[in-house]
Amino acid sequence: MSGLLLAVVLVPLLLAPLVVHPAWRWLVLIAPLPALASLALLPPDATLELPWLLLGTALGLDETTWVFLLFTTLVWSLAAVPVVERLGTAAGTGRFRLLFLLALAGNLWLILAREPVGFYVGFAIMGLAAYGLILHPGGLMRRRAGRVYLAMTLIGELALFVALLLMAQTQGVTWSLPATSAPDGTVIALLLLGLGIKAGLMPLHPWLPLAYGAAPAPAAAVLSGAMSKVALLGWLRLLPLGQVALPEWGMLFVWLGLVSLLVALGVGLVQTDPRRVLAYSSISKAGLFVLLLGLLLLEPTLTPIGVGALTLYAAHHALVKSGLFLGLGLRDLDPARPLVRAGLILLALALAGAPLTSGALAKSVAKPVLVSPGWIWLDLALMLATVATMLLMARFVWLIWPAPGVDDGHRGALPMLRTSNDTQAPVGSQPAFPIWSLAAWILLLGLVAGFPFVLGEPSAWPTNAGAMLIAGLIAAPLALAIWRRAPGSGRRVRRRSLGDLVVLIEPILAAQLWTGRALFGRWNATVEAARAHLYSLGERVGSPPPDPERTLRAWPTAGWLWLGVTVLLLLLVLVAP
Amino acid sequence: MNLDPYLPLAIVLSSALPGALIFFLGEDSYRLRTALNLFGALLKIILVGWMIWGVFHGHVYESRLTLMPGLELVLSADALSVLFVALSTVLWLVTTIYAIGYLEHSPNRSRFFGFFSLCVSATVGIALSGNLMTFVVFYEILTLATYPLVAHRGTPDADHGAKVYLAYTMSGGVLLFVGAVWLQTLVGQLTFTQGGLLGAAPEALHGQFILIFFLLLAGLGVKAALVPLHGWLPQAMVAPAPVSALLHAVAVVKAGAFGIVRLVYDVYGVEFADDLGLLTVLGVLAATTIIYGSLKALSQDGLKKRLAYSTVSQVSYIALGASVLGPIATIGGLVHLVHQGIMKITLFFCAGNYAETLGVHKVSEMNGIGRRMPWTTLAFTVGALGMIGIPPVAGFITKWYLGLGAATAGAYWVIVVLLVSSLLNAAYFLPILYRAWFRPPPDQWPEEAVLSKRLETAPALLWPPVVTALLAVVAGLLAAAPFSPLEWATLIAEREYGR
Repeated sequence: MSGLLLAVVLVPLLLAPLVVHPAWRWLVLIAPLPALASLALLPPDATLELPWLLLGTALGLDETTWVFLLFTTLVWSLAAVPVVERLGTAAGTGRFRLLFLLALAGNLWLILAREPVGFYVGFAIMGLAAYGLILHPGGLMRRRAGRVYLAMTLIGELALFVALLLMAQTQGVTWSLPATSAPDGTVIALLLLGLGIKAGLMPLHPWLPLAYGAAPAPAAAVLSGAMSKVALLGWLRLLPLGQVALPEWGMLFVWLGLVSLLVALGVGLVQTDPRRVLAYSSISKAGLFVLLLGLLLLEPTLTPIGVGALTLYAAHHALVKSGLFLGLGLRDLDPARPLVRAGLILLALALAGAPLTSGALAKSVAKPVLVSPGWIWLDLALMLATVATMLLMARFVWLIWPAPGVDDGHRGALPMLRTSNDTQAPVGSQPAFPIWSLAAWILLLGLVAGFPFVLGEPSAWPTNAGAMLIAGLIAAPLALAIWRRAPGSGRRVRRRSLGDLVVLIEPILAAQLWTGRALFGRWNATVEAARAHLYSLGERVGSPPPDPERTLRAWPTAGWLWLGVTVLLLLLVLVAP
Repeated sequence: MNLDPYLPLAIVLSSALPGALIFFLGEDSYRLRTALNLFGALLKIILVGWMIWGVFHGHVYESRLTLMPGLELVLSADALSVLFVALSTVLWLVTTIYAIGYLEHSPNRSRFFGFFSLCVSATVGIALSGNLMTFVVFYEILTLATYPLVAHRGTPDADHGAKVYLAYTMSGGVLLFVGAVWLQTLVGQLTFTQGGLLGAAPEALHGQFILIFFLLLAGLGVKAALVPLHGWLPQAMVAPAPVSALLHAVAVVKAGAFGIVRLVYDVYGVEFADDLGLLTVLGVLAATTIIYGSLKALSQDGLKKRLAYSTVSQVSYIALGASVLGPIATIGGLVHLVHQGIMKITLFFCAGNYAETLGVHKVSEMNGIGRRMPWTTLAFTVGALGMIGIPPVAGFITKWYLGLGAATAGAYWVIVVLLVSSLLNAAYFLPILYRAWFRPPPDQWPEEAVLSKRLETAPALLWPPVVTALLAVVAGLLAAAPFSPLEWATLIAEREYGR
């Protein structure tokens, strides 16, 4: 029966080459089914030993894995619907579907892996395959996003590789993940680097807004909902949580997390593209995860509550964030559809952690950990972050609000969406609204809406009410502005609505601009000057000789070179003891 | 009757005899030549399978011919020789099929296949050599048998490349010979012994041992393309694709690397070499070669040239594994002997396919080639990802063991070398993959030939890379399965360290 675990990984892998053919694209929907089946049918501690695979591996479930597998599978299944229905059969979509399934297989494999090599293999497959998802369907901006993503992903993978090597060195070639002893500082630093890139922790985040902004809706959904959560899973498994207190590392995590949490919210508030707003909200959530991990490193006794809270938080964030991206995809087809707008607002509220939503539940579960050190500055910072998150979501709602007659207001924000739609739909014919994608999305909405009531106590429901009130007071002018916006006069009103907000936003914006200029203006100029200088240097020297190695390759030169090297090394051997 | 003493000899002759016969065939006897080629290759596979089974169960196979007292030609099979024999035998079969497809309409086929078979016989002889003198003999035969293959096309370029090749390898051969003779006068018959045979020698000889090591290393380093002795390799790129594939994956380069492994483990003994400080020397040379080769590969536009520099870099992983003390690093180096072979031969097959089918020789011409030749490009992708060390392709297993061995031995600089090399490999392979899969194809290929009605190219050209790519994935995925390259390398390391 536990052979089903192998099918979870194997079925997407085997289907991947088949879905290239447009006629078989529906097979994408089949790929996540074994994962759903194993969630339903297998006991929550099923294990499958595969001693012949890789360096000897095993697949299995435990409590954390089960939850991760659940929400990951849900996100991938629901994102698969628009992949089949909306992406169509144009050139390049076969490649997209193939890589979609490869990334899915990698993601599921690493979740189920019971030892680090399996985890790494899944991690690498997923990371590389996702490159092709970001790139689809091409264009300069996506190429740039893809390049940044690929470079950072490779660096992250190598960092993780070395971390696992160093861990394996102390514990044998393979080891079972939960039984880690306290690793040394290098390992923790490498884990922070390697997985921090995947999570989008500041300052390792540059790929993330680019990728989320460029990727098609289903790809952004799985990137934000499923793939970036892998970092948290890795940390939960590889960090020595609950075994020893590591005060220095704990404080570092807390501060890194806090900086990421607050700065990302600030940067997110000034974005003009709703996708980037969501991207920065993801970065801030990564900060929250790292902050919580830091608190657990400080106080190991909290680990059982903390791990549960983090897992729940990850589930909530995965569903909501992927829902938002899928919803944006639907909205781009028909901005005026009120159902989509209402759904997006519900999701935005959940992400903001408004009372009675999954966000509030997640917050209330995490609260014991967050208040554990009893630092007043941390409480204040978290309060600020909560309010800022709500404002960020208000900003998001404002950006997606269909402004009648203000197309030009939105054009700047969504150029690449327009082009992507243009390439998908033949000019002149309005494509039918993707009804199955909508249905899948509504199912996801139901899951998010039911989340707090199924999983949470009533006492958790009103969490964040106070923060909501404050945020509401701050955001009221904005809401008012949107409310008062009259049809046909969008542009003027839009400016006026900005005027209303000026009191609050403008000083922040101005300050940001000034500090930015003060901090980076000089830097940018210097970098530019240096670059120009380098180029001119290159021109002055002239083009390099066709093959500078040629002289080196002449046999006499090589011979003398070898003699020289020999003498040098000989001296080394004789001198060194 | 006990056939065991004849088995190593039979394995060498199974390709040498058909090769000798092929020389006498006319150009037109296509069927007979192909039949002879395939017969030799299949026979060899069967014999090698027999030998693998026997060596695993501890049998001893040894063919011995005394030339004069104190100078014997010995062919014998230990676990290490079997690893190399199995690799060259399997890849020879694949390459033969590929070469038959590749050279179908070109002149001088009998000459080509004759030397081709001799080349593999020499390689197998190197693998099965039981002492250093036998090794030197086959090493020289290999040099001579490969020269006509490099010069095969007969163009001025080919002539020049072949001359450079000969100058390098003959000089290297002389150094190797001098070193071997010198060593033999000091300690007598140099039978390859697990754990080394010099460790017990009196301490007064240690100074000479160090000098001899440099001589031998220079001789082997030429074929193994250690910087600065690598100059011939990029120029030998003028050879036809099957020759390049064989040169880089099985025969010449690999023979040098195999010789270094023999030198360190079975002549000096890895612990004795470490005592003399020679492992550090080897490590520095290997690391330099790895980084330098990758850097050079970055700037090459010619696909085969880029692959050639990649070989320079990748083969030194084997030497790097030998230069780190400890069984895990040894496993990493040994297993790369096989892994590099199957991955690199895949890449060269693909390069040959691009050139033959579309006339594409340069990286900059490869835009959208994945649409036109998806299977070839898929195989190329597997090979390239394996070179970078992306799991689950075999290269990852190498990297893991080398890194782990280095960490265990405390040689953290090796991990840094591995990291830099991985990044550089990514930097020169991923742009190719990007072009091939994500750029739109050009309106017209440089020189398109229709080689097959149904397939993207001729079947004899298509199947070999697909099969070797599959092997590369299987070697990585099933690394822990019995009789995988990794398990076999582990067996060798156990026997080497577990005396």
